[in-house]
Amino acid sequence: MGSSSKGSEGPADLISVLPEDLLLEILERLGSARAAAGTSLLSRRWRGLWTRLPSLTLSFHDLPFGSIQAALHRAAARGRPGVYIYHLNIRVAGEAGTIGAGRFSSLLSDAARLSPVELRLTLPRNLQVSCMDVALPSFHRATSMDLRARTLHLTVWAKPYGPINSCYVPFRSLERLSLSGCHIDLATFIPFCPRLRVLRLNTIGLIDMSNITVHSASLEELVVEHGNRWTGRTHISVDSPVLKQLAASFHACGNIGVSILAPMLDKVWWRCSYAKPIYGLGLWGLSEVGFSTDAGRDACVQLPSVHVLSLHISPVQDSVSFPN
Amino acid sequence: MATREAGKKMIMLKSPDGMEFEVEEAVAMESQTIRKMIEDDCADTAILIPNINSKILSRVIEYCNKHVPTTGATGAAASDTVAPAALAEDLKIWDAEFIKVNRATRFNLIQAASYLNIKGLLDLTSQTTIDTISDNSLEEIRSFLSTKNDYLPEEEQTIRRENQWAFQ
Repeated sequence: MGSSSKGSEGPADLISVLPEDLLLEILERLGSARAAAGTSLLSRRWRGLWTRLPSLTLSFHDLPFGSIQAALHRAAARGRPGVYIYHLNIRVAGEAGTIGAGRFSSLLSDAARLSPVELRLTLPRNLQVSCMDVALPSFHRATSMDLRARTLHLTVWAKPYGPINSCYVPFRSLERLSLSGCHIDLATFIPFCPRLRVLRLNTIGLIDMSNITVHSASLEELVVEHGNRWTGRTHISVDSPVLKQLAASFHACGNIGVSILAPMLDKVWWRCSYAKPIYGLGLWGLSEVGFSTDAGRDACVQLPSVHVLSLHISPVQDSVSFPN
Repeated sequence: MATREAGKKMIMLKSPDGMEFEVEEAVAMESQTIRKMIEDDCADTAILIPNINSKILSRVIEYCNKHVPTTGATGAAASDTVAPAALAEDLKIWDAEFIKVNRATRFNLIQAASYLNIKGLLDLTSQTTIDTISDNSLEEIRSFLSTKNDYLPEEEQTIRRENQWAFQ
């Protein structure tokens, strides 16, 4: 873009030509908080202009944890929470090691001070948060949250400091929640999300998530991916009057207790595989159970209208060979 | 000014330097600002467009003329012969040609597009600026925007520290 000639026509500074709200509009179109923040160095007039963006996607991709923490802290200190619409998109760069629960907690509370409408937070697999519980602060404007880690121990305030319990709804706008690698007490957490419509849980590799309790009056779609090689017993309990879709896959090593109360359910995809074949029939054992419904064809038959039932049965002992 | 075919409502737009432009209502309504004036019945005789000189206003009208959706009898005939994809391609080429203007004109067009609320024109005119800010060094951005660095060296260091993450 070498076309712009300077000098001859004595060009006026863009900032003196365009009003601030129009400049903000241009900064917003950059679609990158990083590029927008970079303009701070152009001249005094540009300093901190980006922090006045009306709607901003703060994307911190593949940056070290420390840098993200500092940047978020600055943004939270500068911004006037509640005025701007933030979309937070944080992806910490791979860095082997452990970060203290305290540091992670302060990152979360800075994020919460910005009251984002959307929060995505991904920790790399080789970065561990120390196994102390981290309190998940209130994200009362967030409609969508997506947290991914390897193992992250989260708690929500079961008994809030406020005087009246019923007013405390820290996730009152939340409609979509996706948790991967997070230990959290769902039985406590979900009642704080009265608008939750879509819940995705991935508990593969988590030791203490063998109890999946989802009781929600608003939930319409539930996706569970569970995998646990240590706990003998897994229990899933779903009580959702408006739940329409359920997709669940389990890799378990023991029994699975299932209780599902969902009268509106019309699409189910279920897959349960066992580390070792169970329920032996002589030399044969059950290794996988699956079924799915297809509401498209003839729904409203009896529940559940199972269209595909699959049973994978394999020999209990691999060493036994069978003549065909 | 030549009268257009009957049945199409015409609107008079006036620039502050006294020029008058007669345009089809549908073309003028590409601007959300003008559309609102028309819908609110504030557009009986002529609409004065403040702050936009005749040179810029005529370019804006040129843009709207090209981008107004072709509907009705003539439009249907056109779409019989030209595929939508080809039409879009044609528009892109036309846009690229349209935006080959000097810097001052481009910034005036940005302002006009913003005031008149013509989204497509604002996208088109601000894209160069956005690309420049995204892809270039500070010095290059400064020269493009004709911005002078008025920071003291120590202030510059402070800002670098404050926004360190943005410069990594």
